[in-house]
Amino acid sequence: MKSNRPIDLPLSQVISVNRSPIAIASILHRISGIILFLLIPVMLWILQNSLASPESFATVFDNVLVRFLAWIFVAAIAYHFVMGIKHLFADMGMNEELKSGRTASMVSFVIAAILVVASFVWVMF
Amino acid sequence: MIKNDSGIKSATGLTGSGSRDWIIQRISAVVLAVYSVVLLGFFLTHGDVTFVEWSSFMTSLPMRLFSLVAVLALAGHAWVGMWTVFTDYITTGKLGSSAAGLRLVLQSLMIIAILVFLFWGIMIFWGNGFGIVAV
Repeated sequence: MKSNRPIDLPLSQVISVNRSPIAIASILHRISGIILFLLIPVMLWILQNSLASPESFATVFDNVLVRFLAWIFVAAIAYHFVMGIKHLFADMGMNEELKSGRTASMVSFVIAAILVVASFVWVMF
Repeated sequence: MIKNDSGIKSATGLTGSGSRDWIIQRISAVVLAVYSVVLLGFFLTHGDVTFVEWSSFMTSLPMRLFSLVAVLALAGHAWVGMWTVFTDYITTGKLGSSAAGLRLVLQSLMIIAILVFLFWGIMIFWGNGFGIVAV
């Protein structure tokens, strides 16, 4: 069965057409999820070394590159966490209208931005 | 939308059922959210964390159990999430006829990677000691 809904637009075109905060929040939620997936081995490696011995604990956390990767992971978790909460509220029927959805997205952006910046200061310094 | 009547659309999904994948995604999300908050709480209450504080916390029985549940939740959450991404973007409509083959390869690699992460995570918390990983 064919429908005229243009669901197979390329992603770039979708983003250029739909610039609402709701759409941006949604695509960044996906991108942060992909980043988290790709960083799982790095975090498992950090986790294992942090628990192996005091020496390996120190070696891992004294490394600036490791700290930076850990920050990317923490920042992506912070964003994914905030937008995930928004999503769970939406599952319960909250903030699903255009106006309330925009407001929820903007509020989530602000919270996520604060967490991302705070985590940078926290992890890197 | 072109209807897929091949009957194997969700063959690489986690449970073979859309509603079951959906609910697993939500339950695992809540588990991972609580786990993240617990870890954040540990760091916020310990300032400059020492190895002894960190390792005695993470190797305590409650955290070993919670970490095992969290690793399982992560495996399920990542599987459903990555499946969603692949089936949304690696499609015939977007990439042409090679999409199905590419999607099969990517999803197979994703599933293998998740199994490796799952067993690795279990080994860290329940394996024989906490060996250093050589770089």
